[in-house]
Amino acid sequence: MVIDIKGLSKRFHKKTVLYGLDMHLENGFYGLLGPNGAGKTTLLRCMVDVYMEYEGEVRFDGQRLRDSRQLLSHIGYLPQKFDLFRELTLYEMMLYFASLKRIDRREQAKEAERVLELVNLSHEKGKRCSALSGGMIRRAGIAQALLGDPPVLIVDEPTAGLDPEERIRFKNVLASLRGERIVLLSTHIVEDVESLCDRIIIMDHGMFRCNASVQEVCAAAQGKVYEVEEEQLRALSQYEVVRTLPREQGGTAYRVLTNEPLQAPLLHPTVEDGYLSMIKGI
Amino acid sequence: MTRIVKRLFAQVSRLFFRNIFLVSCYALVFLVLNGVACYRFIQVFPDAPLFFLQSSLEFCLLVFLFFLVFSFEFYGVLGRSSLGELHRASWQGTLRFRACQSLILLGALLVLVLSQLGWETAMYFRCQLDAPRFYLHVLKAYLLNFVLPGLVACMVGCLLAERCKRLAAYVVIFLLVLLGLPPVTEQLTMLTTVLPEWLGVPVCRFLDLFSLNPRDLNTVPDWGYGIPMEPYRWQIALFALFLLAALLLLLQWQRLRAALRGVGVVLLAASVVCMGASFVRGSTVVHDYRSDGVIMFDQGYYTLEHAGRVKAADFRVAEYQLQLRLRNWLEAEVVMALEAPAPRPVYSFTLHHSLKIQEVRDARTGTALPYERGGDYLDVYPSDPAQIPQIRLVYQGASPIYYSNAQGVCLAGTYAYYPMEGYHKIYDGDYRVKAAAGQRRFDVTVESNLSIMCNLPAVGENHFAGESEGLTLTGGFYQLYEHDGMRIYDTFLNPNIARNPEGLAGLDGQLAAYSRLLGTQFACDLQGKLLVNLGAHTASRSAVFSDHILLPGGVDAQELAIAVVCQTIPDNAVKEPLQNLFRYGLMDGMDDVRDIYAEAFQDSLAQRIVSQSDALGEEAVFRAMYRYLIDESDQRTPEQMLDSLS
Repeated sequence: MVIDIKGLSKRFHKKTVLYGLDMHLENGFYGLLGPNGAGKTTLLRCMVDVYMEYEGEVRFDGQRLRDSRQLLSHIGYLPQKFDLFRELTLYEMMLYFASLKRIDRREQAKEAERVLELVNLSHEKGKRCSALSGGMIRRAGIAQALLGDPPVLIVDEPTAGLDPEERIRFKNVLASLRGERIVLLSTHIVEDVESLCDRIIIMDHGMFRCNASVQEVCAAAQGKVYEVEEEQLRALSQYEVVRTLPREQGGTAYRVLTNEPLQAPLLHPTVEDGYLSMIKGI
Repeated sequence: MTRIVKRLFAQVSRLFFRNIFLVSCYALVFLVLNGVACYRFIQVFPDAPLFFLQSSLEFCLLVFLFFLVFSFEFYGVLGRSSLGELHRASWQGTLRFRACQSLILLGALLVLVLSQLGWETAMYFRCQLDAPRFYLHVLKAYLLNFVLPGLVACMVGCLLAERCKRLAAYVVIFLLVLLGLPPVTEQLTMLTTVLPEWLGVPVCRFLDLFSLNPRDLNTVPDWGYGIPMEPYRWQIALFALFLLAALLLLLQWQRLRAALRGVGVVLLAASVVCMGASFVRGSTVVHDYRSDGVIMFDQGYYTLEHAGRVKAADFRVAEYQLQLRLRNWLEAEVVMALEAPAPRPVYSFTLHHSLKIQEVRDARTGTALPYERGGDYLDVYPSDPAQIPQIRLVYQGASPIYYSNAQGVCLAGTYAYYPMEGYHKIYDGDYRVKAAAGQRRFDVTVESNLSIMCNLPAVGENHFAGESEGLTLTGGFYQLYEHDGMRIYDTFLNPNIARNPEGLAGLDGQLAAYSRLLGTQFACDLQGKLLVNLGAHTASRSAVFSDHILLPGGVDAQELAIAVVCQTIPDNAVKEPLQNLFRYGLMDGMDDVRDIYAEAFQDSLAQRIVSQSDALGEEAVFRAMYRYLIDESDQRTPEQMLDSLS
């Protein structure tokens, strides 16, 4: 499967949210990274036809989504806000989603069992959805996206609001999905992308800043990341504090990103550093 | 694919049946409606199917309200579950989910309606009606008052669930129900009567667009007419359905293919057409205070400036040929052959003001004849003053009391729905009843979907010809009964007369009493006449013709006897006040004339009557009054006549 986006622009009344985006995706794991309000969710919604009014094109294997809405059956989508019908059990919910995806009735039970197994929720399948935790609901969301084994998986902010244990569990599930498919993971949490993705697409103010491998993103901050003391920080004119580093002996040091050459220990850049470098223009 | 849809429907059904709130509310409404129906079936209306139907329709607004709330909450399940976006991202996901929900709501509505219809059916068989047209009437009443409003409620609920937050939605629901509450609609309708028409349409008709509920449920039903279901009510229901369907489609404009967009536009156009059609009404029967409703139609019209006139005719209509079309209202083409001692410069008629004249011609030559129309009166000027013309009149119109439409016909021979010679008063608080003097020939063909009863013999299908003083046509829930040689045309839903014909056995006794009192022989042969139950809604009195008798709603031998007596008294505007007191005295006795009119109302004429009665005796005064009233050559005033008694 190949996804091509050409000249995608989206406006809400007079406000432009996406500015002529171009993107080409082939099989692999992609992270869509950007701050809140960058346009990530808007981009994903255009890709799955939640928004139908936009300029430009979205093509799946050369076919325009606008002309062939049946293509949506080949896309697994987990939106940012996801919930379940409280009255149904988890298993019934999966069967419902399978019907929604037009999976053959004879295959539905098998598929439901398979995806619940994938996300480690088989033992909860008899529970009413009202009794599931937030993390379970999120994993159920991935499960429904995987029904029918779609060649494209689009996931929007999957770990938002999850506790650390649920986040780890969720990332493990996502990691197990590597294979002959496109996975597009949209998030503003750099750690999620760093551990899972082959390529990172950074987005800000409705535009792509880069589409590069993890190493290339890190390299963007090469030679710009220092560990500095507070006094040195005050002397800097342009910088970005990546992290504060409390010292055992007392006092605080800072991991900063700056173009100015400093007399301070130079640190090895991470994806976070590279991301900030592109977003802040340092 | 069908199996997938069935599977989806089964899963969505679970959403409904496992929602304790929705199921409980539905069960409660179901139990209440059926419980009340059961109670009424057993205790309240054991043999009154129309009362039973009317009482069932009292729950229309409740069902409408229930489905507004019910559908809003059920359609809102998708939004509240945050699954809306996921459904939009799947191929026809939202559409299929909504379709399943709609089928469930439709099923809920039909189960409720069918349970009520079960009681109606039981009532129908218990009353042994054997009248499929009444059962059809019941089905139509349920369709119009329960099913269509229920569908409208569901569509409103869907629209609100798609577009509104809960608070805003319940405000809208509250307003819709408020506009449908009978006291509110009554008050608003009354208010609109003082407003001028807008775009040539009475303002109350715009208000009607917001209420699908029947308005006539707190009145005694018209047994011959049933529940009013004129075309405008169907048009309003269709207007609402088409408009809501169009809105539901067009709000998804971006997601629609060109064909569906076209459907949405067509639906919108259809709703506008239905709305416009609902403003153009024929003969309708509405019991509220609008100017063309039953209450105010004539009562409002006959103010002082429209007070009736009386003028004896100096000619007579020897023969009527009438072609009547009674579909949506009365359309008539009448040819009158006139008789007079000599040609007249003008021929004066009474024709109810609601009937608008389109053409007046000389039937022999085809020449248009000049005419003047003022209220209930029509003066026609012959083209050749030397000839007595044959006049052809084309007119159309509608009345809510003497109605004529596809549901019922009530055209009394005393009501000027065809031109009657001379001027006479049609209404003075009650409808005047007076058979014309002398028989004349009628030949009438009626175009109607109903089986029409006429006092004249049938000479073909809905074609009648014969001689009488007046022409009475009725149609609706009537049938012919026979009892002891009497022919009674009565409504089978409440055959007051046919059930109690013994009540008329007292007629001879009453007539004998009045004969003794007034010194004149009065007689009325019931065996030779057709007795017609005209319907109490006409608020009129009995009328006696040579071939039929009009009985408004029931058997009252005394009232009929008085009608026989008063039939002999010619119209006279000067003598009219005395005639009213004379009639009142016959009905309730001289004591009531004294107590009510003479003493309470201080009516000087009544005081004279009482004074002379005290002096000369009641019998003498009654006889004197009667002789005076029937003597057309006596030109004195009533006061002069009474003062001259000694």
